[in-house]
Amino acid sequence: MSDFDSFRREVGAQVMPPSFDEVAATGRRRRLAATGWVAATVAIVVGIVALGVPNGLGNATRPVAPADTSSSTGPTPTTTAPPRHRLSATQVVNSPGSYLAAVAVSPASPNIKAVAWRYCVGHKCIHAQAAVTVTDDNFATSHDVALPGSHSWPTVVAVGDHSFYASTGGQPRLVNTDGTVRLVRVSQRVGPMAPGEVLIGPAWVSGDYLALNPGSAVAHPIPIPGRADQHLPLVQTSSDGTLVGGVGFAVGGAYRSLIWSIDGGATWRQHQLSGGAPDMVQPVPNTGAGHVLAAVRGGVGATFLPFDTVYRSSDGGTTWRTFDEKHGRDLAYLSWALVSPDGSLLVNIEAWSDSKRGHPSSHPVGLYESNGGNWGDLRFIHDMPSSAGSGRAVVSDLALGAYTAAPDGTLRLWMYDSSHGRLYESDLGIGTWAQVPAR
Amino acid sequence: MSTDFVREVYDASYRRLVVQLFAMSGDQAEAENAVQEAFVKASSQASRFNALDNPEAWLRTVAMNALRNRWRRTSVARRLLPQLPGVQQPAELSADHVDLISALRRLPTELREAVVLHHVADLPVAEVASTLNIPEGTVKARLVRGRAALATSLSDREEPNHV
Repeated sequence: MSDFDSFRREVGAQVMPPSFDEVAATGRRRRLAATGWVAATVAIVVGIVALGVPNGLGNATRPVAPADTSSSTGPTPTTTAPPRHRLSATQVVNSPGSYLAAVAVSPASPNIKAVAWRYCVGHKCIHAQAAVTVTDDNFATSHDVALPGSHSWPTVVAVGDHSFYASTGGQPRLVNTDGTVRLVRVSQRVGPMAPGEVLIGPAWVSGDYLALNPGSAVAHPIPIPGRADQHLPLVQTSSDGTLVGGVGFAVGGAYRSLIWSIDGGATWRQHQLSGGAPDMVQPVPNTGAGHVLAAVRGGVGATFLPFDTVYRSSDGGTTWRTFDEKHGRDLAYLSWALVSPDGSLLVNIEAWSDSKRGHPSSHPVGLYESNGGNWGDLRFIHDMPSSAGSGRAVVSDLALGAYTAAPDGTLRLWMYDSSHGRLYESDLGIGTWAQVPAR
Repeated sequence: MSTDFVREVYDASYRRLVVQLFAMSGDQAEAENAVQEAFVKASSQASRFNALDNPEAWLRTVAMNALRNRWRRTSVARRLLPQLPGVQQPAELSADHVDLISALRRLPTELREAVVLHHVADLPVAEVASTLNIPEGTVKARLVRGRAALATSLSDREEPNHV
């Protein structure tokens, strides 16, 4: 929802934080007041005891007055304090209460994976620990590595045959399947991606897209065109190395375009996408051979199917073809889209607008594929994994974890159920999902 | 007791939190008050705050609770006072974003919180579920309904015939 991105930027630029010293001074005054209240309470209680008040009141000395007497309405750190002993990485990975947070699969083999897990303490997840587990034999053996901090949801990216980038908002790590770990250094040098570098991003806080050299473990921002208040919701790498992204929210039509770069971000081209309605644009990465560029355009506040328009260029952006979809009464919410190796458009629908509480839509959720090259005609092809409660679930609980495209054209997908810690794998030729180990 | 860590988080998170709370409340002043209240509380308990693994999540929760309490306290006054025209937004906010805030304010609170946490705070569904203490499926359902309502609200404004 790129309109929120520009909102964040505009409002964020206008917020002028007051001096922290003033805030801290207020906190000190509050602490002193609380301390005084505690001291007064203790003095009163001691006085009462000293005066020989019977046992009934004397018992009041056991629970000392609360240290925090502020009127603030939030949870106190005391009540949500982390366990005395932090969990080890292996405990985080193996805890039944951990969330499966992210998945990455090596392009070299589906058995080489990294799965990030997140363990929450307290019902509001005030405390969290994260760890990543890596394997090169589909978890017959594995190594677990703690990820410090928990500022953001864990991210893992395959950056080589046996190496994975992992981050939770702190200093990122490069984790190899042999268990070795290197810290990733992020330089401030902005430059295009060099051969061998891998796209990472967007980075926590800065929002930059980074190019990571797996050999040196150094990453740097790549140049992406756009005004300061413009946000790129998604930049991805297609199978031929093309970087493709969609630019900005389209109210007024000023920013609606698809951008791409075939030289790692050194130069960018863009294609203005037609259409007058406010909407959002989602670039669609190509997993096959050929210089296919694609984007789908949907409605305000959500990308939906039927799309308003689907855009495709099969010659690297020289010529474009659009597919205007016929609007149906029911809309569907898109979680992701890919151009499959055979050139068809593949989209995953996670919910339909006619789904009501306890009343699933009459349409299936799951994978839809275009009728060959006719991207204006999508048909349901693939149910969700069984844990989603069949293809007619109200809303799918599954997220796309990773995908790989083999040289023979086999597209393999991994979806995961975060809260149940389940990972599913499918190649589209089989048409079924199999639960596979995730730790 | 050092407040260095609180200061560090303040520098990194203050703006982000205000934006999120502004999206929830539609009132920047209220959002700033709530966020400052959270930092005051953090400063008054710095040693315990320093031990948090996810300080921003804690601050967000404190600020959201402050906001909810303030809304509860002022609910009667809001009913009695004449409605102010439009949203209480910063003077420089663009028309698009005023409309966005207005559309958010028209959402029921439960939908608005889910939408803001997911789309403004960038929290994954699982973490929104943890923050609001509701199942993930409920979060997704609220997001679907919230986005649909926003779509209707904004498209009605922009182009009446748009789907």
